[in-house]
Amino acid sequence: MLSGRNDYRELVQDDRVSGRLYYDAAVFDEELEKIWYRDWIYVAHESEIPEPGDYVTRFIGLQPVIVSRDEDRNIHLLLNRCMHRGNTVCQSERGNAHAFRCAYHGWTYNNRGALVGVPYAAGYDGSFAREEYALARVPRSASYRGLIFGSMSASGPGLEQRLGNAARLIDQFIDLAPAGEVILRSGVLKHSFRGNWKMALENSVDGYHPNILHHAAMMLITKGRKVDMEAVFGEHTDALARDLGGGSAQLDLTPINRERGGRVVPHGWSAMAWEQYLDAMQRRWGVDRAREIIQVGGPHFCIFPNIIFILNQFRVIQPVSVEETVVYYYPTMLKGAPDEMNQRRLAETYLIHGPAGRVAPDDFEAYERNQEGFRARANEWLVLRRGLHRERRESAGTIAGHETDETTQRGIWRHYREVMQA
Amino acid sequence: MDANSRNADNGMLRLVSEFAAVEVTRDERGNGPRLMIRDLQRGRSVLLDPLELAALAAVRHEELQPFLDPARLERKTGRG
Repeated sequence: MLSGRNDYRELVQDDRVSGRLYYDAAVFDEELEKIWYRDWIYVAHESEIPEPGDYVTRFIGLQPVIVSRDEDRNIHLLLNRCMHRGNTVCQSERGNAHAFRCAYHGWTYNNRGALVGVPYAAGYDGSFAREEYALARVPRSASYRGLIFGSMSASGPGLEQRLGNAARLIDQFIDLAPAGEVILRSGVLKHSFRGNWKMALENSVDGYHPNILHHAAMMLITKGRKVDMEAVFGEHTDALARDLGGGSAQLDLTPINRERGGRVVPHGWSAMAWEQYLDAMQRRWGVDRAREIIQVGGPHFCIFPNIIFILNQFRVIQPVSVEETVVYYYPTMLKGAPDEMNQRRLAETYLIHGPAGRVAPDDFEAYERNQEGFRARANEWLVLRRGLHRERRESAGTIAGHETDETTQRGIWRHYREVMQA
Repeated sequence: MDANSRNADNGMLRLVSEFAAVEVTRDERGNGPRLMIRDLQRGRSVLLDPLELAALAAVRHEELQPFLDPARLERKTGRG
């Protein structure tokens, strides 16, 4: 740990950032307080707890959280810490229970957090009031289109204000579903890596690396098909890298998607499924709007600090320590779409991003090499100057650059500097 | 159906969560059918007739909370 207060104006410059930000435990501790325990953090999707009594366990930063649905269908974000001696009350990642019992001394809570019983109660005198020992709540919680966020800070901007420009991209992702909802009930891929959490966020919107790091995958993906990946991620692409503001960022593939006639899942469904999907979309949205949603396709973006949307998945970043992170890949199903299409979306996730997938293992290898490289202290800096001379401010206040430029990383770091320096 | 909620060969239904494990069976020893619930962790069981079960069908979960108080379990396992 390095001593003294960190000067983030020095560590994060407009065209470069210090390697210390990835390995200094003091920086990580400060991030917990200024980012993870202050900002809105994505915790779960409503479709993961569809039934009364359903719950999942998650983390906000390092703090364990229970996300439960009570019998009136209300959602609760509770701290997973027994009010008696501090044990976690729920251990399972998911389950169904209207009451949670701490395994240590048996203190029992309902799924709204109220303490409903303690063993050998005669040991407590008349001043013991159960109401004072309810499970603590995450101070603020809110949902947007089924995405549940929590904030450990009792004050600050509301969720929609914080989402800003990213909200319309969430809409774009979810509007691909004929029923207007996505479903996360098809399992999750968990990738743990020995590296800092920010790498996964930055890389999610890095349009410079795909044709290089994922070269082998691109050759497989394009084999026998009329797809030129140079036109998607190369120097001559029409796609854009966009700083959305607030640390959120996008690779805007709209021109490519339009050229291909839309991008709902990459490829591989039957003409019959396509007709069923088109019909369902037109019935919900009307012919013109349905066509536009499909043409624009699934967006590719991240919301600072922990959720990424790419094609058919949500990816969620979970920091463990300064040099350890887990990334969860959730395949999303489009409610109201033909089963065949959703099966294809599921297969796409495990074929591309599973442990033996074509793409994700490359990324995790790169992160670990990155973390190892930081041990060489001869050069402290990571260079993020690519395209600085050719990016432009757009009318929405966003900043757009060539897709292979580091406009997206600069956007993430600009926000990071602002919140960490505060 | 996963291993925590499968039917055993004898028609017994086993339900397991991180908080409890029970087996449920149809009991025919009386003059009418009953449902037997057996707590696998404590070894206790209860037989419920259709009227009692119908009453349970109308209950709100919060009405069951007094039964979930661990102090109640102490009384039921009391000495003697």
